[in-house]
Amino acid sequence: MIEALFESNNYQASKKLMDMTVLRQEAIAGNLANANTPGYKRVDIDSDFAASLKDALNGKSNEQIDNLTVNLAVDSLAPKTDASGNTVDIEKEMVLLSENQIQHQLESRMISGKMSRLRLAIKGGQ
Amino acid sequence: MMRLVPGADTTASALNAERIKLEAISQNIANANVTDAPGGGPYQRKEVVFESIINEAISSGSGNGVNPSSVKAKITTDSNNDGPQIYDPEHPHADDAGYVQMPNVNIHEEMVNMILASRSYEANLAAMKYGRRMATQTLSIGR
Repeated sequence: MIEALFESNNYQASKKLMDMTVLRQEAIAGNLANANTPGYKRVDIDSDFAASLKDALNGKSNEQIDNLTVNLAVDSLAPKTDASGNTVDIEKEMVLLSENQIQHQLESRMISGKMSRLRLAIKGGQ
Repeated sequence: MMRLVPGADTTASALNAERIKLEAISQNIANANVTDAPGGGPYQRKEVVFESIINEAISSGSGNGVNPSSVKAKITTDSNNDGPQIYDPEHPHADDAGYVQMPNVNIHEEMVNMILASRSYEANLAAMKYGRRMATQTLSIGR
């Protein structure tokens, strides 16, 4: 019974996405740190991740979701922002930073929500 | 070591690098009129260049992705450009023709660099703030 709460695809995906937001925070911090480093190329979550998560969710396979790996990759599409070839755009990174924080908040609430539902069931609403 | 606040090491390295840059800039401004620096000749402006250092592997899973980079500041002396020469025969450091070699510091350029460096410092502080908020959020799961 209890397993059903914690083995839903959405719960597994929330955990994975939370890993993703933490790694993305690292990436954005690195990009901001290197905003003035000549020739630095910005990094972000590997663009394959979104597609493979979608696949795994379509397949409704917890195992497939669990086996997903989150990696960082150099963002080759980002345009150069200065003469040295640096591709970090501070404004864009700041927007991504707050976006990422909101997403992390969403995932942690999803996970907390599952737990409070279990608590509700145990206490019977008292 | 447990990584509780994501990106903290990276941000710390960047804050340190920007501080070194600000120190070099204030040194340049302070010495903008020094015509007899230690070692002889006018003061030569300090220039700070940043280079990135790849962090140790942190990616979850197979770890075959790239890793985020910290930043390191390196101070170099700009000896390629000469400052202006000012005609002042009374000056103790004037040459035979009465010209004084001034340092190669351009105050306007230094002021612009100073603003850029302090804005970058603020951006990195914001990254730190968000990272800390994420850690707090994670710790409150299940409450």
